[in-house]
Amino acid sequence: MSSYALFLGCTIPARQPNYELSARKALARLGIELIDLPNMTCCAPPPVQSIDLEASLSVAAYNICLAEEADLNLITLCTGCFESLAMANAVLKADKHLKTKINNVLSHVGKEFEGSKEVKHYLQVLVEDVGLEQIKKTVSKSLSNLKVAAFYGCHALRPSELLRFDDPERPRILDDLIKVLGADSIDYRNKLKCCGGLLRGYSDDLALDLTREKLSNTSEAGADCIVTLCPFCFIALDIGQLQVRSKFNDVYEMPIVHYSELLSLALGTAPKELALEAHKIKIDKIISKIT
Amino acid sequence: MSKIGRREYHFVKIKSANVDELVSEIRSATGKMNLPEGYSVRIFKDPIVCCGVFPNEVTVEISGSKETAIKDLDKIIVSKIIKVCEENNLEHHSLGPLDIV
Amino acid sequence: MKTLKEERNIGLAFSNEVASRLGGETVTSCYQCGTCASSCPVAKITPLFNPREVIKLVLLGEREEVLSGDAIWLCCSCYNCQERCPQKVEIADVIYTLRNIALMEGYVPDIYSDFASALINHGRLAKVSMFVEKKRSVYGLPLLTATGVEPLRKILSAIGFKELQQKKE
Repeated sequence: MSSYALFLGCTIPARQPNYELSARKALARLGIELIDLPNMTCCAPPPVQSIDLEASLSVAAYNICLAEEADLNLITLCTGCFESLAMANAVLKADKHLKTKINNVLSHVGKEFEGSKEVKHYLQVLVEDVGLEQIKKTVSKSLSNLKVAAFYGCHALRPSELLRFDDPERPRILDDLIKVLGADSIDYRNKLKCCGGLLRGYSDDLALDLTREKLSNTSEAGADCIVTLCPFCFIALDIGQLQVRSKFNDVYEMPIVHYSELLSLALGTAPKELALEAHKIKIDKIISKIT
Repeated sequence: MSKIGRREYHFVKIKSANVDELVSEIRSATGKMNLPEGYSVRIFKDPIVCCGVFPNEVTVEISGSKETAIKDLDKIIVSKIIKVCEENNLEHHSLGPLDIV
Repeated sequence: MKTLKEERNIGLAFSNEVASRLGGETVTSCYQCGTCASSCPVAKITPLFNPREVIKLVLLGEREEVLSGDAIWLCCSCYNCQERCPQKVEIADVIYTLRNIALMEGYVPDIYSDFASALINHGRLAKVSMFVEKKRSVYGLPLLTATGVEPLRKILSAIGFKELQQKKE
């Protein structure tokens, strides 16, 4: 059994029990052990990097130290957390001068970054540790009636040299993981384009334009739902739909679903065990399509 | 054991900055309420979500020992908030469900 | 009247400043090809932001305009530009560096004060209220482990992270 230190970040435990619950259940079912370490903090995502890059690197490195001390690799659900931690891990492993500088900061809390562990996103763990074939065998409810618009988001894919998650221009991992559940991962216009989430709070208008474009393109392609990896993409597209409706009078009724939720349902978990109330746009029509 | 009832109010056509003013108005409207002993009401804006800002939202949490009392208080607060919205010409606000744990 | 050399040195000061900071090291490699601008989802929908323009202004020494302007806050951090830059300019990181400098100089968008306070007060950016804790146990989720607020504060103070102040006009 593979064991990982679970890094939840900020948003998932506070706002998205649907993501956490479905991921814990699905990963356990597939033989991945998740260990909750104490004293973790925020991963230092873009808003913190915008304030101070050195602080962000230090905070990310601090969290990696906790995993190093527990002799565990880290697994994340949120792709934003993945980028923050995996980027810090890669940069500090490669740059001795920077590593010394950050370790000086970490010495104030009695930690030292060694670079002995890996940071993985759960999709990578699913493919590398469990394998597509094994997942296929474990599926008990076919999603063959489902047309899924896979949305990778930005932060799992780029900067690809540091993250090494998948091909940044033609990624496949999420599409493969959707197909293995029996569903159809459809093509749609500007599939890899940003959802605009990070513009929120500074320019809600521009953020909504990008969100609307994503909803329009997936809808046009006939998607039954959009599958997400990032809690912020989820929020931008889920509750963002209500804002798009209010501003533009466009009604999409497009269910937004995290991959782990689809996975959990395909593995046979009952919908009522998955905290689906967290969805502002109800996903009942997806549930009814799952035999 | 205390129960907590939570309801989220979403304001889709308001600027983030004005949500602060709205929270103050709602607080003063509800501050005048006579709460039964052992019950308290928290009203807050809780916008920060890791990479940015959650759409404009005000959250009301009512704590107390009886579910029925919490529901009654919630009804009163909902009507006060709707009144504040009408006074401020705020359209397009939506209510989440009342969730009690 | 300034000599040509003096003018050039004044122009270079800002790009040198940026290049000397963490994240800004690669800014001077830019040769203004525009690949970043054509990859940028924000530039496509508004003239208010263009990554090539931002780098150009840095290289031309327009410090005040860059730091006090809206443009640097309109990057959505998608990293398309950095991914595709033929010169390997770390454009998204340069923009973070510019934001770092802007915040130190007092150009603080409102939400960044909120981010900074949330981080310092709670160790996480999203608060977890009593309701959320209780709801977790209803769902069968494990209790949240303690957040490392103290270590976080020590790290931030070791770097000299200060509460952000609005620039006084």
